Amino acid sequence: MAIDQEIALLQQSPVFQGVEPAKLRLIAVSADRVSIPAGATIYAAGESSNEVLFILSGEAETDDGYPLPHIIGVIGTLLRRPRARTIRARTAIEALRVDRDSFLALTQHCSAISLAIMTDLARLADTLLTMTPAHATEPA
Amino acid sequence: MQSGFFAYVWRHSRREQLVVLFLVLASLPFYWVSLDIPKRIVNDAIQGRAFRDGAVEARLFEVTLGLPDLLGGGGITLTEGILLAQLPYLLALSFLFLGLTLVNGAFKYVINLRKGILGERMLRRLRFELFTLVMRFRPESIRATKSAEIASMVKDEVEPIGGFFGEAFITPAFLGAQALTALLFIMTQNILMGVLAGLVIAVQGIIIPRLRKEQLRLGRKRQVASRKFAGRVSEMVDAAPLLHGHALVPHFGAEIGTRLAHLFDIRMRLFRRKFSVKFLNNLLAQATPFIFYTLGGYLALKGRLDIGQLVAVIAAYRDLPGPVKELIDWDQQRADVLVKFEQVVGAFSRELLPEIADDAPVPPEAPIQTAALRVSNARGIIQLDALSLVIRRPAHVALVGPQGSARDILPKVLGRQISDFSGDVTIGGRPIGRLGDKAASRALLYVGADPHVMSGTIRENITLVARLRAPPPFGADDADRDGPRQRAEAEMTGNPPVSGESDWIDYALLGVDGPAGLNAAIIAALRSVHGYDSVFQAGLSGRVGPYVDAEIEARIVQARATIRDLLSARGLMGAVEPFDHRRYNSLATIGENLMFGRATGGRFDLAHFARDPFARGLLEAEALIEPLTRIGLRIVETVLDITAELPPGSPLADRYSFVDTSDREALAELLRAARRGRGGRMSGRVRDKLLGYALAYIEPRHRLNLIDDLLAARILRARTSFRLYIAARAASEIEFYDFGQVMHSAPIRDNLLFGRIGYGMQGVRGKVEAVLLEALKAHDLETFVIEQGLAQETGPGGRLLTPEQRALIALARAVLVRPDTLILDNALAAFSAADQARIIAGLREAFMGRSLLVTLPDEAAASGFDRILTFQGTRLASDRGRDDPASSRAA
Repeated sequence: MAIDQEIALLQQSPVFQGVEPAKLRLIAVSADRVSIPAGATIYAAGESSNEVLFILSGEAETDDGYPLPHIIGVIGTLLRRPRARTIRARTAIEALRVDRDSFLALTQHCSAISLAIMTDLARLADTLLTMTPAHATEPA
Repeated sequence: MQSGFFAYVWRHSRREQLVVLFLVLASLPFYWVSLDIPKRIVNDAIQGRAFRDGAVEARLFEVTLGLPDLLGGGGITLTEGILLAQLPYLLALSFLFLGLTLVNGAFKYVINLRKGILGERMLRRLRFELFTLVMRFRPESIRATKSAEIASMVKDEVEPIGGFFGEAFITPAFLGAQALTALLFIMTQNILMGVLAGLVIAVQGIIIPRLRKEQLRLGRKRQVASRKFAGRVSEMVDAAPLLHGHALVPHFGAEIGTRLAHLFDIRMRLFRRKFSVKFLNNLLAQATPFIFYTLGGYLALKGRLDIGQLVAVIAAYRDLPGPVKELIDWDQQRADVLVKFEQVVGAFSRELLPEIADDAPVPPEAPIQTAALRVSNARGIIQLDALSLVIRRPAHVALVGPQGSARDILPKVLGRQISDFSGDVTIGGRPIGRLGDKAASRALLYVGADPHVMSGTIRENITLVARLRAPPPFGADDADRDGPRQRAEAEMTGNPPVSGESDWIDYALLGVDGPAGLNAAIIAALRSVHGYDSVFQAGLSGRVGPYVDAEIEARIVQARATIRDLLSARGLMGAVEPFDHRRYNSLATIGENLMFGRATGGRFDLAHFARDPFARGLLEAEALIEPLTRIGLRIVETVLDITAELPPGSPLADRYSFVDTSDREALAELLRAARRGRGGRMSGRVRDKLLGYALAYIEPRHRLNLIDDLLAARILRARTSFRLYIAARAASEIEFYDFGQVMHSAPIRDNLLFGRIGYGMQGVRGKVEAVLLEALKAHDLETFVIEQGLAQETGPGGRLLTPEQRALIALARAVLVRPDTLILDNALAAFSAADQARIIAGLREAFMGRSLLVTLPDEAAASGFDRILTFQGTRLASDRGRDDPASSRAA
């Protein structure tokens, strides 16, 4: 339950590889630490989007098997629209929760974090583009 | 104000100036007599001229009116005066002299006072006129104006002008008349000496200003040169590496040397000038007495001038240089003020809106009409072209189009944000530019994208727009003793004769009976723009405050039990950590845990806590100083780490807002001092600071892993001693957590939960909030919370609010005053698309039967509107629903 441990976990995630710990500290100091038991709903479709989750450990999944980025909730939060699909915890999850204002401040003040988020979203887009046409034409 | 300075002063203060000028005139005879008395003291009393021929007594204060020879000469004796011996005679004259000195002083006092008041009145008028002028600038001109510049002009730059208002006529008249009287007096004593004194004054008055002019010119030159010098030095300091690298230091050193020499030369010439002026001044001042003594003495010896006259002349001459010098100063000040006045007048001379044109109300169904409307921006690029349109009212009109198209221009024209257009824009046949503010705001109320929120509470900001009904003028209420005076002052200075602090709210306009109905109207307005929840949340987070009904307190306490029951019924007990005097509350600060309460006064305020002898003694006794300083140290380290990566004021450092990060250098110094002082040699100031930071620490919020069970147990033990030993008086500085008592200094949310919501569980916060709302409803506390929410401060420019809250305030206040047509120009930009749709639906309902003009991104969002105007580029592309008023849902 300490920031130093959270920074270490963030560093191990593929999204933040190579990002300096000093930058990751900014995520940790502006976040709440949350624990989500396996099977619990993280975001329900239609809920308003005003926060994102940086996963420290564990895995999340969508009800319809749609792929997820590593940082959860970014799309709804950036586009300011309700959650598009319900997301659950497949395993127990430890995460950092950052509200919308802090998330925007993070992207503004820290280009390394910004780039990491873009890369994460790009990877998701890439996955979606190479998926079977059946999945790809499904409404987002 | 376009005329010159003196014309302006004369026009607005003629009467008062004349009164003071009259006083000046009235003072002169007394002055004259006071010059004359010394002569009589010396001649009649001391030298005994009145007691010639062995007379023991002489007549004093005999007043004889001389008759012209035509009437046989002689005179009419008005009073016989009194007969006095020589010594009483001398005393009587001396006291008369003293009395006259007092009279002269009194005149001076009254004249100066009236002069000052006159100047201040004129300043008040000028400032108010300038303010009124700014308010009449065209909107385009306002946007191009730097508000700080205008503010400093209205406040600072007119200040010296104001000082001169009183001086403009009175000073030259007063000083000039005094100097002339003195001169005339000398002349009547002896014409030759009078002429000499006049010559000396002429020299002083003509030559010295000339010399001074050169002195001023040199002064300005010196200022310019030294400014350039400073600029070069700083440039060279910045370029030091370059100068070193290219070995240019000797060259640039020489340049600096040359500049210094230039400065030296100017300074030297300045000194010469300055001291020669001084020399001349002194010479003139001293040489004249020399002339008087020699020439006057000579004349006295010859018997053409008596000793009394000589003494009086010398005394009168002493009074001369002062006024003359001040007159010269006045002349310089005049030149200065004239320039300043012209500058200020020039800065405020712009194209103005016509003065209140036509305030007759516009009928609500009067159509809006544009004919061949064309708008270009300052660079001449056309933004809206050839728009001829009739908008029948009432109607809900959607303006659709891409951002930056004419869609964004039309609402600004109708909302009178753009006044520079060609073509006609009328409402009910009247050009909108000719409407008075009041009529226009009723007919067409504009809300833009960047709403203005002033400092004050949310409530004040919402009700602000209803302040439309002028209260009765000063003095209308007999109880107001100062009223008539304030009113007279206001009228004398062209200021409004009503108070800005009275109740200006036009309740009838809001459709309520009086102040009592205001809350309901505000809440209704908030609800129709879906702003209720936001204010409600603000209320929950705000403190209860010291002034609460006992009845409400009782209900808050009752609600606590209800909330506990609801939480346990819904399995949410784990989400809230209650305040329990036997347990450490991990969601509260260390300080709160220690006191088991909240500080109400400054004494146990967390930042000052360690400075209090009792509190520090306790920390020492419980061996908490060392662990808490360590925590403080870690906090400072962390804050320095974070702020190194962040711009000042970033919301990311919010959790450490209890540490002042405005001065990082000071913080770094604190850290160094703390590290040096480890092991007991830390200064009290450093230690207290660190302790203050530590006391604000909350483990799950800051997560530096600094509180273990051992420390928690020690803090709990300290809590017991704190409660046990705190003196009764000091206890009033703390509100202890007590399930049966309201904590006034704690947020309403804390009060209701009697605990804190945890951070760790996902999605429980909403559920707990729902429980709170339910309990508030059950105990009829909702109005209380919303009122507390409305009482939240907005901060200057609304800085304490989110953009959404600012937009909500702008919308709610527009709804509150119920205009005939509301124009929303991008006013919903702060909201997400879903919220925008909800708010528009709410507004459409509130404006049923009235008109709305709303900019929307696309036609899909405009479904249900009576009329949809779609713009492409500068033109109206399509217009649907125009001739179909029957289908209008608003009708």
